[in-house]
Amino acid sequence: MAERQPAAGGKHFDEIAWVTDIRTAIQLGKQYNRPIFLYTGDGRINTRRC
Amino acid sequence: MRAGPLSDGRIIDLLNWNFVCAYTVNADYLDPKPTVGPDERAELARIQQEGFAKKLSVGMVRVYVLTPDGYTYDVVPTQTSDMTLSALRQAVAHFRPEAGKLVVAPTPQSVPPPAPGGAGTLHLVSRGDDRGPGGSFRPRTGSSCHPKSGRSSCRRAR
Repeated sequence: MAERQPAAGGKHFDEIAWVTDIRTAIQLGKQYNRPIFLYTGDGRINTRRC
Repeated sequence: MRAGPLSDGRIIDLLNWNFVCAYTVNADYLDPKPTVGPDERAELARIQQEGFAKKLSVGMVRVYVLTPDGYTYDVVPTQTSDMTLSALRQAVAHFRPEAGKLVVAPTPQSVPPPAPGGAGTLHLVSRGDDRGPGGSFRPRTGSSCHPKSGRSSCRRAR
């Protein structure tokens, strides 16, 4: 099992402070006055199926 | 994308310090039986329509930069980390956000469901270290599998 674990470098995605819906992102954008980075994709990028 | 720009420390830092970051899964919005509600689906449709109106490169797999109040500002190129970084830096220069703390805590984005008592969970992900440049899957013309000793050893035909 250990051999099949993702390498440490494969987990950088989890270092990003993600939210997973647009309305929450907009709410936070207004609250913190920050632009919003929105990735829209086929597959599920969180499980690397994309 | 995941193994390219989104694994680049410069981009990760820029995102965490200056942006609210979100990702969505198209199937959740566009399937005949979508898993998100109509208000959420309407937001994605609005963002895309605003992109069309601004003659941006709207598509199904895209990175958008939205204004802090949620209006479509730009579509970010993702072919290389440097292109993505440059576009994000331009957005930061435009919006001048107050950089600093994270707006939410980063957490593992792929979490297995809890296992019932006494059971284990097989949590499968696709690793990035068997992929080609940019994290893409290498093209294949086929594969062959040979069961040996109870284990399948598969090899690429090409």
